[in-house]
Amino acid sequence: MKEIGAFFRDNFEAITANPPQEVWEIIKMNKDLQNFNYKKKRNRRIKMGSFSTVLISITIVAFVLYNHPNPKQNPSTAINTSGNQDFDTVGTSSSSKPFFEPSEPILSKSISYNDPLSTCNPLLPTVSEATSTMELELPSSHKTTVLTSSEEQNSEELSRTEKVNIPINNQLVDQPCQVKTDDLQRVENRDEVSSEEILTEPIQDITNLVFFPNAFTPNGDGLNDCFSILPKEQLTNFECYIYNRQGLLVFSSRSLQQNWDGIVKGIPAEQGQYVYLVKFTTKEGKRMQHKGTVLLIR
Amino acid sequence: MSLRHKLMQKLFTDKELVEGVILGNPKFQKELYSRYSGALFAICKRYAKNTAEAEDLMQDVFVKIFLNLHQFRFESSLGFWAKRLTINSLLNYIKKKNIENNFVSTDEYDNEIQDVRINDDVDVPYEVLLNMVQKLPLGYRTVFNMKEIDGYENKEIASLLGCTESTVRTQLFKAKKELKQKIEKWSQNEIK
Repeated sequence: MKEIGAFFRDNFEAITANPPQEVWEIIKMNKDLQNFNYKKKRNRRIKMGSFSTVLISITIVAFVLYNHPNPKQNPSTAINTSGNQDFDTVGTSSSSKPFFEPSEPILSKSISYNDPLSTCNPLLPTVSEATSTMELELPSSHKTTVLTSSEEQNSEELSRTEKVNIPINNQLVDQPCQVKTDDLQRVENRDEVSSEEILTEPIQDITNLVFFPNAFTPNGDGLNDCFSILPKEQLTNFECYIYNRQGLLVFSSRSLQQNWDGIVKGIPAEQGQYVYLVKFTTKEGKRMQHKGTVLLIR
Repeated sequence: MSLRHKLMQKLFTDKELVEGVILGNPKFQKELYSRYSGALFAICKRYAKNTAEAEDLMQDVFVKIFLNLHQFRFESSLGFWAKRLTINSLLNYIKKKNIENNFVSTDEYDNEIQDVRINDDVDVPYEVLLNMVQKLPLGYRTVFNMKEIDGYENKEIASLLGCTESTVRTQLFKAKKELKQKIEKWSQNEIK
């Protein structure tokens, strides 16, 4: 009889196991190791680093001093140099009214309504841009009718794309923006939503466009023999890259019809996880990419 | 092993090898790797749950060895230093995997801990034994490897893993019990 620990120790002690060649290749490719050159270059790097930090700090100080606002400057020259674009300085002078002023009351009105329908109201007041006479189209009568009548027809009438005026940099710019019907439903479920939130939360779920299988079995039985990506709409500029666990490229293709069958350089690949990177352009012309893992089972 | 490697081994001592690597000679790097990779990979295999994980760990270990080689003071042999560094970096990796769930302290076995003994007659091949160790749960495997094969003290293990000594003892006992069952089962199947 023998103690089990000693039994294992005797069996394991003098054993050596040679790792595969790939391991050394990857160690050689390691970036930390390539950049690391022990003492000499380290010191040089520190010197270079301190020198560059001194340079950068000098430039920053010089920049700050140069751009520091001079309080003794003549106010009349300041207005002249600023021209038409700088509204803040123009606004302080009493001669002209800034034309962006009406935007603020409109925005506050649209937020203050608790009715969620108001946030997606197509009849929001539109302001004709840069009118010198400062005229505002405020369709107040329309607004009240829409808000008081809580019929469902109004919400159904809303089309997919609507024109909403967004104030950007204190200027009213006519900018069409896409509001999905999903967004509208979401908005209706909430109690209070500001108008800005709808514009900044587009729903972009890549799995609605493409189906990525998470496993495939290249054993020749006719079922899931290839890693086939199934799009739900037409895609262009399709690219697909598959890497193995060591990070080496195993497969790449530029068409949806050409799928990976689990063979690398004529040899069936090992069972296990593989990483894919897929890039494509959608119908709307948007470039998208997706990363994930796929399991190869034999 | 090629003739060049044999020559290298005869020509250079560990000290010359280390100095060569520090000066940035890629040939010395390769020589250092081929000299110690076998022993260190065997250690990685024991601590990992499969060969693939062992390969990943091996890469990290050798990068660490090369990055810390200038701190080697020749107080011990290079092999021993590399082994210690390997085990320490393996433990760091294990700690990251939220080991608290795997080291739950249970005092129920505290009083009945004894030596677990098996028949010396059975001759189990290395691969089978390795597979048995790899199949153990993470906590059992780590403690068993450290205590029985690498010769750490219970106190050291407890401080390195951040658990109590009684936990180490119970984990070790459970690991031994499980291994014994596995060996008995294997030998029964062999006889049939």
